[in-house]
Amino acid sequence: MEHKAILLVEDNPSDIDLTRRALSKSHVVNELQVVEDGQEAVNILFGNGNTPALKELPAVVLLDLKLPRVDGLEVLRRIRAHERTKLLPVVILTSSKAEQDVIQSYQLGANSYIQKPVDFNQFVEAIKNLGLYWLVLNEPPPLK
Amino acid sequence: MSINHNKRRTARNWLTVFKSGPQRLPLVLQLVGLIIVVALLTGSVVGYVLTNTSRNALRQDALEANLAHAQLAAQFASNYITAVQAHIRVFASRPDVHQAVLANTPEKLQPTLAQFVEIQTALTGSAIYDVKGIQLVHSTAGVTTIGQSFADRDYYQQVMATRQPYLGAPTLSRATGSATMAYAVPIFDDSGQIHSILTGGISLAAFSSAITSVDYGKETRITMIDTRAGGSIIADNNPELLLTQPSANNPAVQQLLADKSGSIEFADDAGSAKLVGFTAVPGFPWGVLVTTPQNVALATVNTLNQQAGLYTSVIVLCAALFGALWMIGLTRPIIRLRDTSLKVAAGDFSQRVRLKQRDEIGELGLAFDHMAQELSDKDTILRSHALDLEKRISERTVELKEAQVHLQTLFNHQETILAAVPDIIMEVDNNKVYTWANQAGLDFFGDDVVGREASYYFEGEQETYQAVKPVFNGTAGTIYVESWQRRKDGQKRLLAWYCRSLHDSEGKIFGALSAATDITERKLAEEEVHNMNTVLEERVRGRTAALQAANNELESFSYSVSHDLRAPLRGIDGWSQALMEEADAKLNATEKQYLKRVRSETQRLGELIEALLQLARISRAQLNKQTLNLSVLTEKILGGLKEKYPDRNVAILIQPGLTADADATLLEVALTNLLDNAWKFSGTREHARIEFGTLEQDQKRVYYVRDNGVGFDMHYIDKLFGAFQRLHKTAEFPGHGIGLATVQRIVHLHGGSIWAEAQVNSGATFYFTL
Repeated sequence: MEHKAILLVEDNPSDIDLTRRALSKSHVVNELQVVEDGQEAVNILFGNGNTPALKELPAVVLLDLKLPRVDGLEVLRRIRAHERTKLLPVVILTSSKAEQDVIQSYQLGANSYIQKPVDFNQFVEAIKNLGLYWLVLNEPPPLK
Repeated sequence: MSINHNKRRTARNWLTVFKSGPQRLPLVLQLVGLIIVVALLTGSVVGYVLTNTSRNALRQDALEANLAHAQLAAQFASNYITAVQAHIRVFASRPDVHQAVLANTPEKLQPTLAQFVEIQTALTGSAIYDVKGIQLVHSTAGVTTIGQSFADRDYYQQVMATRQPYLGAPTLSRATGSATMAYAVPIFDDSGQIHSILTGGISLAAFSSAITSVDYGKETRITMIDTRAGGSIIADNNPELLLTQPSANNPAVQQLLADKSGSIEFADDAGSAKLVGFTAVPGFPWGVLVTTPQNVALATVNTLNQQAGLYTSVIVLCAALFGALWMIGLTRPIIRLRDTSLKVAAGDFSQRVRLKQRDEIGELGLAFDHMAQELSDKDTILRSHALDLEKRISERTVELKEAQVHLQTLFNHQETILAAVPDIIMEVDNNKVYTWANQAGLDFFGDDVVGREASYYFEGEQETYQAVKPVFNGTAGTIYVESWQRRKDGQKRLLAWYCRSLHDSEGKIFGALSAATDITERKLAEEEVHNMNTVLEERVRGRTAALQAANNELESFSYSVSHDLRAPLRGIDGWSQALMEEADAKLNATEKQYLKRVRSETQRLGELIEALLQLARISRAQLNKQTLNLSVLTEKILGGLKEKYPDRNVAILIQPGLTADADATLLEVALTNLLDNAWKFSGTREHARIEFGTLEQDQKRVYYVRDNGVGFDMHYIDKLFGAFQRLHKTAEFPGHGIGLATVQRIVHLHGGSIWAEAQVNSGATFYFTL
């Protein structure tokens, strides 16, 4: 069985590695694709000049909000505005728990909102649950 | 005296009015005239009815008599002619006559015919004709008509046609020249054929005289007419009229021609009235008229008429005479009554009528005398009243003078007061022209203010007139208005006016009374205050904007703190954990302990950041108040704690049904902090107890959270609600010192207050209001 990739949009290298570690600790075997700013995320999803678009859409996008260049909410808005990606599952994974961020994310069509806990064990737990839910339990929308 | 004089004048006026009315005849003449008119009318009506009745009766009698006479005459004429005709028929059938005719020797019969005519005096002549109408023989010898044809005569043609005897129309005899009617009889031969015709000319003169010889009444005339061919007279009192046509205008003739009978009255061609009875003669084409002149028939009535006229005149004359005498007697007391009343009306109340009659006029006289007496009495009373009135008027005049003096004093007093009032008091009429001013008014506007219009003193455009309109049209009692006015020294001053409408005795507005105060200085001061306020407000606005900016900055700072401070913390924690896992075998117990410390401190810092963020968020929160059940909320929070710490044995006392109007999210944060503390600081107690309840203090509801924990020293109470302030060692009771600061923020946001009471080792109580 072929596993779809997970797209992580995150600029903090420490968090990228921690996420990678957490995923591997949770025995998630799906490929983790990482882009480090919003613009790159947009490029890889929709294609742009030099960068071709992904041939196959990821199973889920883990999206940080605070990103260089194009911020997470804008990335989410574009994903939802585009015909190809409007049904793509997007999970907001961020340090912020500001009410405003949560409300805006859901308004723009985020499928989940998870605050990254400081405690690494809790973080691993969260990633584990997330992987379990989005990669195993959830029936993904029919995407090409 | 003056009253009596007035009365006389009134009476005289009344008389003048009476005499200037339309002039009429004296009462006596009017009454006598009335009697004559009544007598004349009665006499005339009675006379007319009487004569008219008898006249109608007589007229009817005459008409009936004339009809009866006409019928008699008709019968007589019928009998007469029938008899003559019978005689002629008998003669025609005499054997000698018959024989001679059939033997064609009629000329032998000439003497027989002559003899027959002589015997029968009704006949003028007799003749025999052959069947061709040729005269064969005549009673008169030697007539020239022998051999002539009479075939044109109607009697010849009728007899030939009908083979019956026939009476011809009246005509002049060709043989004798006299008026006759031919009666023709056929003579038949043995075979029944007409052989000859015998005629007898009946003399109309004889016939007429036989009929008219009867007396039908005075001046009554009888006329018989043959109704054939428009009619011709065959009998009349006047023999000259025979064979002439009767008057076509006579309606009786017209009726006879129409074969009717009856009696009528009509006017003849000369215009005189006639009464006529008429009827047809039975068996003959004739009619009879019996005519009497109307005046002859009604002569008796006319005589009666004349007599009635005479009697009426006599009666009227007597009535007039007696009436006049009677009326004079009747009106004499009335005239006396009139004369006396005129004198009384003229003011002479001593006059009396003194009538002695005992009828209605006598009663009227008595009543009049009584009235005159009453008038005389009233007059006396009036005079005494007049004297009394004059006396009272002079008394009242004295009183009035005293009142006037009193009023003058009052007026002077008021003037003094009005002059002493520092306020300007002005009076205007409805045209806003000043009519009065007190001393302050004169001092302000100048001595020439009265007579000037109010607007003369206006400085610039003033809406004063518009504002005081309700005072002048009566829709408002008092109006306050401020207006800029020119003082007599030329300075522009602001006056505050109170205007009130002035009413006359009928309630009509005739102007307004206005009191004014010079508020120029006050106004200037007010304006200065206003300006200062404006400056202040602007400053506040500026500060608010600055604060808002600072707030926004703080918000973005908080956001950064939240995001950026937590990321490295997570790194430290994560990598410490990674190290612990990867290098587990190489680390000794102390080194592992160090790594654990790193992790626990990291987590503490994470919590601290979280609490700080919450405090910052709460400071800026918008209240969203609703009715909350605090008892239920408390129970829920404590339930969560029990679940988290199942080893703890805590007695919980919650007063049920406590509600408050508050923000649900914030109050949950506040109660969570308070209950967390109570739970934490009672952790060392074997029988821990936590209470939530209310009490009344200064008419305010006070909520409290009480525990029987370690308490604290009241000495440090002022540090209790400060951020990062702690009264206990972290090792004993972990915490970051931000919880109570957050609670205080929330309580203050709700407009309440919070305070605490405690004793070391005897628990603590936190009170708050909302």
